[in-house]
Parts: sequence; C-alpha cells; structure tokens
Amino acid sequence: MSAAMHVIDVAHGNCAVAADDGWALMVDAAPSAAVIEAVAHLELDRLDAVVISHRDYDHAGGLVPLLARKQLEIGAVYISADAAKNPKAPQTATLLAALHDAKRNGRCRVSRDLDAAMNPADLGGAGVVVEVLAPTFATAMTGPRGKSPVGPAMTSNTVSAILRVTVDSGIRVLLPGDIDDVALAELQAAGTDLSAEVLVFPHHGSNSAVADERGFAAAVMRMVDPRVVLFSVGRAAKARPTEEVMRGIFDVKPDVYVACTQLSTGCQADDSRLPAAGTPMAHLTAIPAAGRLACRSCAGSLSIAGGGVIGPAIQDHQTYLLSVADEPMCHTLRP
Amino acid sequence: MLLDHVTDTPDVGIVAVLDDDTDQAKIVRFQLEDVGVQAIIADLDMVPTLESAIQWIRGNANAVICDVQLNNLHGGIDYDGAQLLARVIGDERIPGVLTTGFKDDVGMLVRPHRGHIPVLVSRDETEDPDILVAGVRMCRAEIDSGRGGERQTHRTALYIEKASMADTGVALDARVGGWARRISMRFPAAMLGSDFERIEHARRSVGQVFFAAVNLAATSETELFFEDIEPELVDPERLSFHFEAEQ
Repeated sequence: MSAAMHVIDVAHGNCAVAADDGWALMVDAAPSAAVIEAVAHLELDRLDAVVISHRDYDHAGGLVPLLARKQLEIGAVYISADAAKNPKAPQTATLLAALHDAKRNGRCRVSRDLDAAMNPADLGGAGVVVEVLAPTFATAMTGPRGKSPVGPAMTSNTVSAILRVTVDSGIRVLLPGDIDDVALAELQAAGTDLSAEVLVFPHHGSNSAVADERGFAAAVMRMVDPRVVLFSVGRAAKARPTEEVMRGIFDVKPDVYVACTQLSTGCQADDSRLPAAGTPMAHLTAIPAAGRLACRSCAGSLSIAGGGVIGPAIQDHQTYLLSVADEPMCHTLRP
Repeated sequence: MLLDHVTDTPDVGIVAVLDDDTDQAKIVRFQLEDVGVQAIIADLDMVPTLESAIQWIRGNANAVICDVQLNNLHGGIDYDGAQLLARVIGDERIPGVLTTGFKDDVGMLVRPHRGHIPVLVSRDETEDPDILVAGVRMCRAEIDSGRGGERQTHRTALYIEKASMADTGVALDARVGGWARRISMRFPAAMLGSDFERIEHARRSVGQVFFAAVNLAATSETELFFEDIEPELVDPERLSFHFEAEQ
C-alpha cells in the first residue's frame, strides 16, 4: 500500500485516515457509521494513533464505537481535557466508558499530551510525517474557558489541535479542526507556518464565533496557501460552507480547487435533482461515504496522494456536481 | 430503500395480510391487488396463538404484511405483529413488512425484534403499493444475502437516561454513543435482564452505561436496534480515571 490520506464523508463532522504500509493514523472520529466502515474497508486491524482535535461531538462522537470495536487495536488515543464539556452529559459518559473499556482491556492507551511541543515521531509512521502545529503547550494547558494569549476567552474550538500530515510524495494536508479567529490570531502572532497543499477548511466552512467569515477565510487562505480546499459537510438545512467563506477563499485564490464531501444546500437547496436513493454514484471512490446510499454525497470520501486528490477524479466530480446543482458555489462565486 | 418502482410482481407471490383493523386490512389487500399481487386476509379468530399464525402463513402465503397491533380491536390474540414477523422472517425465511399506526409501539413492541425486521412502514405508507412490494423485496434480499451495510451492527456504549412505566412494562430511554447526539432510543427494560422489569431496579440504572451492538448507520430512531447486549453496567462517575479538568 502506498501512503495516502483519506478524508471520509461523515456528513457533518470530520474524520481523516492516513495509512501506509501497515501503519495508520485517524484524525477525528465523527459520529457516523462511515468511520467504522472506512476502517473495515481499508482493512485496518490497527490504528497506531487516533487524534481527536477537540472534544465537540462532531469530531469525537465516533470514538465511542471505534474504541468499542474489539477487532481493532489502537496504539494511543490523543484527546484533550475540556472543562467546557459537562461530565454528566450522555456523550461524555459514553466516551469515558468506552475509553475505560478500551484501556482496561489493553486495546489502547489514552494520552492528553496533545500540543505543538509533541515530537513528530510520536505520531508519524511509515512514509507519513505528522506535525502538531497547535495548540501551543501554554494554550493546551490553559484549555477551553481560559484566556487566550491574544486576549479573548477560548472555547473548545479555539484549542483545536492542528495537524499537518505529509504523505511520502511530499503533499501536505492541513487538518485544523474547528479553529476560530482567536486561534488564528494566536497563530499569526506566533508566525506559525501553516502552509499545505490541501486544506480541510476549519469548522466545516462556517463559524458562528467568527464575525467576519469572509475575512477569516481569506486570512486562513493566506496562511495555508493551498491548491485544494475541502469541506467536510453534511447536506443540512443550514448551508455549509457559507457564501461568505467561499468569497473569502476566492478573494485570495480564485483558481483553487474546492470540493465538499456532501452536496451543500447552498449549491442546491432541494433534493429534486438528486438521483433517487440507492442509485449507484459512479463518480465516488470505493471508500465508504455517509451520503452514498441517500445520494447526498458530492465528492464523497476523498483520497489524497501523489499530486493531490486522486479520487474522485476531479472531472467526474465536476460533471456530477453540475448535473445536480443549479448554483454550485464553487463555480458561481469565483470572481 | 423503498423506492423501487413496481413494474412486475410475480416474484412476490401470495401475500398474507394480518391486522386487527379489518378495514385497514382490506385497504392493504386492495392496494396490493391493484399492482397484480394476490393478497389474502387472515381470519384472526383462526390464528389465536403465535404458532397457529406461523403455521397458517407457512401453508398459505409467500409473504406477509402485518400490523404491530393484532389484539387491540380484535381480542383473544396472544402475540403482536412484531413477534410474529420476527419468527416468520427469522425461522421460516418468509419475507414480510411490518406496519404501524402508533409511533409509541416502535420502542416497546418493535425494538426487541427489529434486528429480524428490516422494513417497518407507517400506516399512511400502506396506501402506496410500491412501498409494500419494495419492502417485501428488500426483506427477501436480507433473508437471502444477509443484512446490508446500513443494518450492520457495531459495538458501542449506550447511556441510560430515563426509566419509566409504559403501557406494556418498564421502558428505558438511552442515548447511543456514536449516533445522533440528541435522540433517545426507547426499549423494554427487560431486554437488559429480568431484574429490570421492576421499575425500582430500572431507575437505579439511570446515568449508567452498557455496551451492545447497534446499527449505527440507521437514519432514524425507528430503524435502530441492538443485539449482543453486555449486561454489566458501567457507572461513568466511578471509573478509575477522569479527565483532569473534570475532577
């Protein structure tokens, strides 16, 4: 197997898997059966590490069945403490129970050592290099509800771990969790290098905590300078990515390739043009996708290696998109 | 998915219709006959026990459309439609579709058998023969080839958030780890063991977690089922570790 990164269509949420030669890393685990199905499809009986960028349910909820899967060995789970989470909430209770169950049965160890001071060798393997670019050690030790070094109070999103994964061909994928403008200001102040060829855009292309979405998106684009921008989104009533985020992206890089895992309602509001549920979606990769059966996927689950996105084929994705969407934002909003 | 269009129906064979509402049974028969499917309505007086119903179906039909409620309007029936259909599908390998007019039945009556019953439709949907025929075919496919990906189960943790008395016994409501965050799944407490049939015992389990295999690709609560239940309850507040920030 050659090194590749797979961004899984989990509907709203995030999950990415990097794999190479018997070694594998998962970054975030959304509450979607596609997470488990992807592990099975990729024939992974071991994940060397699972990194949860932050403990919001759309990034961590799928960790519960992943940990509970007895036929899967996990080297280590890296997950931050989060004082903003109610320890008595059902999602926290199931997470604690699953972590405890996996630890007790020797299926993984659990580490809260997740910050930019980590040694890349701790997470990488085979032909894949994994860097933790944020949070800083000081920010991680402060945590959500604490005060950011640049001033405002931090949320769970602010302290998202930012990972940059480089597959052996040299292509770099940036996974910034749900970082907000507070986190971005800290990164700018620190002069952190976020450059990458592929960006999985933070917070699914919208951030209610960011007043100026267009400016935020433009700032992210300037720092990352990607050739490809991916959105891990569900086909929900609240359209993601937002128009403002898309405009900010194209303000900086009008020719960037943009793909969403599922068809945004901002591109096609109703389902009238979608194929009937169950219709084979020939343009998708074979990797499980949450939107495949109901034909809600757009690019579906994507694979990245070599020169960039190797699946689905860009032309096939574009042909499909134009066949189902009246106003695809990645076309109509380009200057 | 129930979206295949009916073009030809000889594969469906003779369909047995069971419903304690005879008017509703006639509607279903009429709809099926409208697309060329022969349907026969069961005389519930003749099938008062589960075994007699199974025997009658085995001798007279190739498929079943069965309502959850068989006793409400009729009386004298010692089983419900979910119990019957689970046996018919699981043991007799005869395909069927379960129908219901009461959402409340899904948790307490259908849930324990949902693993055997791939197709549950609302009473409104029974007026569409395409849905009924497609449902029979979908069930046949599962009998022949096993569960599709959307019905595969995966081990996960479930959080018990409520115990209450329902018409048919003690009910538990649980959140499913790795599934929709805000939606609870109702089921008979007895599924966790006979002790849970006592409300006092069930109430003591609130706030605790158990493990079971759940079909996590379910798109609605009515599709959810679980199996391979691990009866040991875990109290999250008494685990040997906590996150520092939560101490």
